[in-house]
This record gives sequence, C-alpha cells and structure tokens, in this order.
Amino acid sequence: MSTESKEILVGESSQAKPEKKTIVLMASDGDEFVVDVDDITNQSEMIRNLISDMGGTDGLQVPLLNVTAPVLAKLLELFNVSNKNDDDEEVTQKVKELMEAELNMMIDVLGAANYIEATSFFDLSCKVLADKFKGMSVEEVREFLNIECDFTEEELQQIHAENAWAFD
Amino acid sequence: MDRMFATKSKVSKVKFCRSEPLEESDRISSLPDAAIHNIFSFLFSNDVVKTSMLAKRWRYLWASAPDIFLDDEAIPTSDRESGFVRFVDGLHRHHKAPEIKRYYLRLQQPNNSTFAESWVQFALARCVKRLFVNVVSHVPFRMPSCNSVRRMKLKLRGGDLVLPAAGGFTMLKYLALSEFRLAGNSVLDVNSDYCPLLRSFSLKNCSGLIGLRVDCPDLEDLCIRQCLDLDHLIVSGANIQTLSVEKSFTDRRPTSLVKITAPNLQTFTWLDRIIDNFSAGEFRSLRVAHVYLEIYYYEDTNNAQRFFQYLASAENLQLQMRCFWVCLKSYSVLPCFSS
Repeated sequence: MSTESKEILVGESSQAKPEKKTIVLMASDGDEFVVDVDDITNQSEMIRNLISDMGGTDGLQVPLLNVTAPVLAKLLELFNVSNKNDDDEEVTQKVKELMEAELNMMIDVLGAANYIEATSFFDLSCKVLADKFKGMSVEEVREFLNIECDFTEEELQQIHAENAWAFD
Repeated sequence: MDRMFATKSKVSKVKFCRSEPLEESDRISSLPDAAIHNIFSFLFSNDVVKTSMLAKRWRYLWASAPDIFLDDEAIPTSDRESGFVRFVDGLHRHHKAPEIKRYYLRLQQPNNSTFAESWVQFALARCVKRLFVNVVSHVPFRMPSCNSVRRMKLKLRGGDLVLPAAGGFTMLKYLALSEFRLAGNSVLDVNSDYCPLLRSFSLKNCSGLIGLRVDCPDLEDLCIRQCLDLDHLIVSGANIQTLSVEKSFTDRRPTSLVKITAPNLQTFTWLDRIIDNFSAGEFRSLRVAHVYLEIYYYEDTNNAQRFFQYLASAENLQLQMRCFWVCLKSYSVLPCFSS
C-alpha cells in the first residue's frame, strides 16, 4: 500500500491504516478513541504497563470506566499539546484557560489523568489548580470550587477551636 | 460509534452528545484522597490545614497529606516567631500520616532556628523520604543519622552543621549541602558505609571543611564549589561521570592534596588553582574538560603542564588561563591533544 499521502491516511477514519501503531481507548459511555501508541504511552504509565503486560498492542482496547467521552477527548487534546511541545509552558497555559472557562471539566480531566497515571500532566494540572487557590480564604476556596459547606455553625466553631493553632 | 484519531498532528472532530455537567456541582470532592493530596503538595501547609473547614469530606484530609511545607516567611501567622512555632507544633501534633514523603522547612527568623532540630526529628520519626532544610541560624544544627531519607538538601546560614560521626544515611541518593560551616576543622568521609547508595553529591559555599574523602560505588555526580578551607580532596568512584571543583583551593598551602580516581569520568570541570600535589588516574572516557587556571607562581606552570596530561583524551576542551603569556614564554604548557 502506498504510504505517500500520510495526511489522508491519518485523517480518514475507517479505512485509514497509519504506519504508526494505535490502540483503542473506550470511554465510560462506550465511545471509542483511536490513539497513537507512542503518544499515549509517552503520557500514561498505566497504559504503558498494560501494553507491556499484554505483550503488544494488537487489537488492544482499553476500557476507561471512570472517564466520559468529553473528558477523554479534552484530555487527549491536551496530551497532543504536551507531546508537541518540549517544555510545559504551552500546555500549562491551555490547562489554565480550561480552568478559567470550565472548572468542572478541568477537574474531571485532572481526575482522568490521575486514573490513567499520566503523572507529569497530572502534576502540572494539580499545580495550576493549587496556584489558583493559594492564599484564598476558606470561603473563597469554597466558592471557587463549588463546595457546599455541610457543617453546622457549631461544628465550624468546634473545628476552629480545635485548630486554633492554625487559624489565630 | 464515534471514532477518533488522536495523533501527534491532529485530533479529528467528533460530535458528542454531551451530558453537560451541572456547572454548580462540586467535582473536586469526588477525587480520590491521593489526588487531593497531590494538589496539596503544591501548597504551603497553612493553606492545606485551612481545607479542614471546607466541608465534611475535607475535615481530616489535610492530616494525612504526605507533604509538609513550612516557611516562616510565606506562612502568615500573628507573629513570625511564637505564632509560627505554635503553628508548626500544632501541625505536628495533629498530623496523622505514618510516612512523610516531603518535608520542607525554611526558617528565616533566627529565633525559630532553635526548633529546627526537633522539627526535623519529627519528620525523621515519620520516615521522611525527601528532606529540605533551609535555615538562618545562630545555633548548631545536628543532623542525625537516618535510614529513610532518599533526597536531602541542607542550607544553613549562620550556625554550624554537625553531621553524624557514625551511622550515616543508608538510603540517601541525592545530597546537597550549601552555605554551611562545619564545626572545628573537619574531615568529611563520605564512603560506602556512610552513604552506600549516594548518586549525586554537591557541596557549595562552605567553611570549616578541611578534608573531603568521597568513595561511593554508585556516585555519578560530584560538585564542590567554594569550599574555602578545603585542603585535602580524595575522590574515588567507578561510576563518577561528572566532577566539578570550583574556587575551593584558593590559598596556596604546602599541605594541599588532590587525588582523583574516576576511570569513567566524562565531564571534568576544574575552575581552581592547580595545587602541587595533584594526582589522578587515567580518564579513559573523558569527553568534556572545562578548565580555568590562575597562574600566580612559577611552579604553577609546571603543575599546569602535568595537569594537562590528564586531559589529553578530552574530545572537547575549554581552557581559560590568567597570566597565559607567562606560560608561553617559559614553557610550552599544552601537550598534544589526541582527540
């Protein structure tokens, strides 16, 4: 088979047969994502280990029970940014933008990165999030993260008293 | 069924029937504890403790966080001294993690430094793996032996550093000491009993270190910079790849001695005086040598000439010399470089 028009081979879905090896990631809702083996193993330790345990990539389908399709799509999009750039600047910027625009999506992506053990991307996302609420008051953090306070006023006072050393 | 290609160059668009998450819902609380702990690892401990007030899910999460970051400048307390001490004591008292991954202690108020030892003891009792201590001090800091630390960085401005005479650090792989003074005229013997697994060792800006003997089988990198009292340096290691000595042998002393046995050395940096008593084994794998010599005395030119013999196999030599003209006049200092 001719390999001249790589662009088309990569872009056309069904009969595409790229030279590169691929595997299929299945989102929790059953959607399938075909990903380049090098790209995904570059990021995910879990998939790297899985491939080495299975002894190859042929026909490999990886069900990701905790990750929905939109989240997986966003995660793969960010992996692409990360794989394309040598330093983390560009991908950090993208994660920040995502956090500002859609915080819940950003946290879901962070959770998915943790789930598939994409350690460096996960660390980077954690840092972006931590930097955001560094120095915020408890109320500000709660509001920023949409956390509902399920303590009674009494309980709050009790925690405050217990941890007076921290809140003086 | 949706199919999608994620390649280096593009992600093809797929239409999703997206089940929009409720914008108001709280996603972070459903992350596993370990993931939240990882977010905590980028915060100073006061911000981490504060999360106990967020909601029930967060009540005790902070107390099992494996990373502790303490800094008396960055953590605002009612006052930098007693308030900070109360904070650290409270944190230690309530902290429940059986093992600490990283313990970072930065004390810029000299009065706080009297607590540094006992606080580090807390971390050691919790089998700390990475220890960073940066203290401005007016009292000695005694670092005890320990079997858990993998990575250790100590920076002590002011007080003396007292390292354990026996025992050592059985799991230590990475050691960096800077801005410290060793009590008395000390000889530091870092050998395979003291740090059997050491791979990287750096000493910077230190005084009171008269002799340094390094002999660790796994050591790969050794950097010695501005250890101003250094007189004896004996380095030996089959795995040493980079060795750098800078501005340490500044005074000319008749007793000075340097002996290097590093057959697999690849990068050698010597930005220092060439002392009379310098010897080295063959550097068979030497690739890069970076040398800056200051030649003050007539004998130095002889020493320099002998010194260059060791570098003969370097593929890449960067050489700077002061008083170069003297050498050219008196001797032909440079030997032939084969590569």
